[in-house]
Amino acid sequence: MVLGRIPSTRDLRRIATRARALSSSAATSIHGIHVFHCPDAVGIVAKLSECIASRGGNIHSVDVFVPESNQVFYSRSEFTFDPVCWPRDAMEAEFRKLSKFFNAEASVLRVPALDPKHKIAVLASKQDHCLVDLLHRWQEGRLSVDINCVISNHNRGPDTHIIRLLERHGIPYHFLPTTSGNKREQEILGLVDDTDFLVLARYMQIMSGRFLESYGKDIINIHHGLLPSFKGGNPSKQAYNAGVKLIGATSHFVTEGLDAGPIIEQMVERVSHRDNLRSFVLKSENLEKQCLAQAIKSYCELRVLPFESNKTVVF
Amino acid sequence: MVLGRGSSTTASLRRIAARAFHSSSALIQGIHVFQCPDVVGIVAKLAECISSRGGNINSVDVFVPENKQVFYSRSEFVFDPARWQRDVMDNDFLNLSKLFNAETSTVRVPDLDPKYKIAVLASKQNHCLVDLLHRWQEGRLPVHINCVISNHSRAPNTHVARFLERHGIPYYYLPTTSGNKREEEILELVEDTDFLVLARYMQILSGSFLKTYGKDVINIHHGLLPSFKGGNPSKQAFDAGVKLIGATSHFVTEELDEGPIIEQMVERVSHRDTLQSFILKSENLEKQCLAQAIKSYCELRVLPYESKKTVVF
Repeated sequence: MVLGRIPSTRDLRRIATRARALSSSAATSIHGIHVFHCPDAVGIVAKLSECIASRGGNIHSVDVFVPESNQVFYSRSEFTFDPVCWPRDAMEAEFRKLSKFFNAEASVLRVPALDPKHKIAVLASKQDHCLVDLLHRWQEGRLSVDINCVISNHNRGPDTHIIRLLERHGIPYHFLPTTSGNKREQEILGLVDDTDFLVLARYMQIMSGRFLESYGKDIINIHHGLLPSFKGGNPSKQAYNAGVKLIGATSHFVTEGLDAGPIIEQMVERVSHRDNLRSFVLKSENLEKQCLAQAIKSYCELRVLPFESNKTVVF
Repeated sequence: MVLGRGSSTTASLRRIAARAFHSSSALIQGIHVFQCPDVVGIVAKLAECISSRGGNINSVDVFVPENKQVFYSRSEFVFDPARWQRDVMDNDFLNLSKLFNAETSTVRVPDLDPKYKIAVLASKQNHCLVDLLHRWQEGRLPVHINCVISNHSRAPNTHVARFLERHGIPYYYLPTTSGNKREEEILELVEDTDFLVLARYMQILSGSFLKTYGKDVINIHHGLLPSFKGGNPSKQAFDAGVKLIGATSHFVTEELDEGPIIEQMVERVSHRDTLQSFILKSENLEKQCLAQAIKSYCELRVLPYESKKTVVF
């Protein structure tokens, strides 16, 4: 607005209003994720998308899945919106209404830019590779979580890479040695109380059913084998002895059965006669790192949903 | 060679013939596979043997495991069969075999040697059998199919029955019961084969059968061994919520689904897959995996390794 004369108070007021209008139209739109799981009915997608659109949200991505044999509905929507037009608490309330309307099993909303990061604890034993890989990814900003602490039944000296990294970032390391009689579960529960989920990064102790029930939240484990092959100990050696041509890793939710919970992700690599036990192990470690990281990433992005009794939907 | 004069002597004719023969003689392929206790100098001697006869080595795979003094090699070479006759070749390699006290020394000249004779056993499931027959028809499976044996009947107007009739390949229907696996009859029918292919043959071959037959039997298992041994692995996999399914081709031993693995293949599955699509993906994998195993086997790429494994060059 060009003025040929000296601006009056009214002019100034008009400028201020227009500037404010300009700045709110230049308001950044931010990213939202909504995940929905309910009994199937006609009209769910219509209502969900109408809800988003009515608030000026722009849907970028939708995954909908209704299994053949089951009247269940799963969806995951990604959308951008203006948090000024659609405040977080209003968004929460509207999706809750839809959740009640459709009698949803799950209705989860996440706005990464506004919501607190997932808080996790990482449990590990002697094997370093998965723990180190997770910490590096986290350090690089590729793993968008808050690491409350690391718990291990194996001691690590103050001059080890991990201890120095954790110290540098102010993440406590709790050494809780286990025995066959004492798995330290009470203490672990005390330490992980304030977490959203747990990551077992080659933690070699079995969590009891009681622990799982008390903790109540999800636990993601990496198994160094292609489940259900080679459950239990030393799957690389089992695989090597079996003369397989493919080895793999499996990330899954922990349940009371050993290496039996719903599978989230699996990866393989070829092996041949040219591999020895050492290269089997190295290839396996490489797969474990990737497979666990992928599972955690999918989980944090709300891509993983329980499906039937023992499976997952992974959008 | 142009001759300017009118008459040709016998000698010059003979010379022309000889030159024509040499200049147009095609080089053909030879494959040699060797397994012996490891020592210094094996590759040198093998290579010298081939080159001394004018053979040109195109490919060599050598493998000596870390912890064992065993030597494996597979060489591909081209040679002039006029210069290095087949029986002489056999003899030269036999000498080397004795020199190195070889466990195995096999030479194969695909253009000259007879094709492998096989029998294919199948049950009700068609897909692997049909795939093998089509590949064979297209010339992609260089074997001779002696016969097809099945414990499942196929009517004369079925695709498989018509196909086999068209090519003069007998189909033997040998229904099995829990008490009678028809092994004696099968043994007789397959006596003149080099190896057997179980293309989703759902009967377990007894130790006695395997011993009597004495030659290799290749099976396709519709799962990623050692996962899901036994029946209906697709359903087992589907119920287990795995994200990868696979197929395994292996040599048959007395234990069910336990013999040395030759090849494995996988494909991704997700929540979007139904039991039906699990099965379809699995069938696709089985066809490919079995065909690949047979191909490798015929090309002399598969060697026994330790007690339960294979070297696959």
